[in-house]
Amino acid sequence: MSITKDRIKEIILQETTSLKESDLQNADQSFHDMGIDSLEQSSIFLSVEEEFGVEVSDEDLEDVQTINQLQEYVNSRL
Amino acid sequence: MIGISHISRFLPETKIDNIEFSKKYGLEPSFVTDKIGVRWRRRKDEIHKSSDLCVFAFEVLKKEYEIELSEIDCCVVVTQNPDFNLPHTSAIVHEKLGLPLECACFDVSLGCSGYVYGLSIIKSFMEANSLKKGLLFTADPYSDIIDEDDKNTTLIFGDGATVSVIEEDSQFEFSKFKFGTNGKGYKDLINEEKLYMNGRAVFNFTAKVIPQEIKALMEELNLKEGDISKYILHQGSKYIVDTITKRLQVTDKNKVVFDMIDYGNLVSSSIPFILAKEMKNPDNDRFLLSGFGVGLSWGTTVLERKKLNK
Repeated sequence: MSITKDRIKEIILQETTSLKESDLQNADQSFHDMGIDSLEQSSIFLSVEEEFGVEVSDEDLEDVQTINQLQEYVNSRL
Repeated sequence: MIGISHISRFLPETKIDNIEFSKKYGLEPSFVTDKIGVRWRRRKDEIHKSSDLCVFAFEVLKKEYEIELSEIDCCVVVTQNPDFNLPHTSAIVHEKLGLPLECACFDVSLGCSGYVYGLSIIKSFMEANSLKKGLLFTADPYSDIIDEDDKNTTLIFGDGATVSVIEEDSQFEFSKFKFGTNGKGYKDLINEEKLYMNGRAVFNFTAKVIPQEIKALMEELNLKEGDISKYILHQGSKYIVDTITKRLQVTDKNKVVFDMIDYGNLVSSSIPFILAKEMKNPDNDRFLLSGFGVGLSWGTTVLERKKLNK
């Protein structure tokens, strides 16, 4: 089992109110630059944790700020 | 059976403009109003302590509800910011109000779950000891412990107080209570020198635990969404209330009350503050109350208008 970029995008769209799929094309763009606020980010990480059993620790948060980084983080811990 | 007859509320007049205040953190006004959910934060005078807020709430009560001091045989104060480490704040309230010598007074040291715990405690205590008329105060002014430079906390909390009249022949009676604690999270909301909150940890706890607790209690009581007039959740933030609403899959979102925009997170006062108003609506027969936060602690109950009870 692994997390795909598409699944991450689905989760992002589920947990945010103003984003569209076209806003998520650059997987190296930071969540902040996409317009995702800190609360929405918490919801995204929680949804990922609940589905994949991988928690992004507070210490690692700074380094998990793009779709690519989140995918790599989760898949390396599955 | 012992229940709630009336609730009175007190808010200090001083309001902090959260949008103005949040500019130093570079936050958008929409984040402040639509996510945090606090436009104005209430602040007590620095010289006032929790007992004073209780007295102010009682002064409101005297104008709204006929009550004789001589009849009060139980006085409970829910606070984690007592006037002093000792004596208990309810003893100070006893003195300030001139309550009778026969009155039992004690404090309950709980935060955002405190009102639900407080209801269960005072109800049980009064019934076990054949007491007739009690006052349950909530007064937890976080302005005394907030670090005004900490954006995780300073934009959220407001000061206020409530007093609930607990007696027989009441309007609203309690159904079942459900409680829980996760002490592993005690450091996520802690006051050592100033208040510290790990916002993400508290959010995760709330999102994961509270919808499950509410669903579990409703299942135990064989209740569906249609049986609930209003869900009154602790007003941690708008985002928390919205997240719980979403995870509960509430279809009629008007049933979930959001009210903190003008005053902030009042800690243990947030639920009774809303309940005071909602109880007055004759269309509201059954409330689900859920308080959660520091500890990490949580408590949920269902309150029913008396005519519904078997």
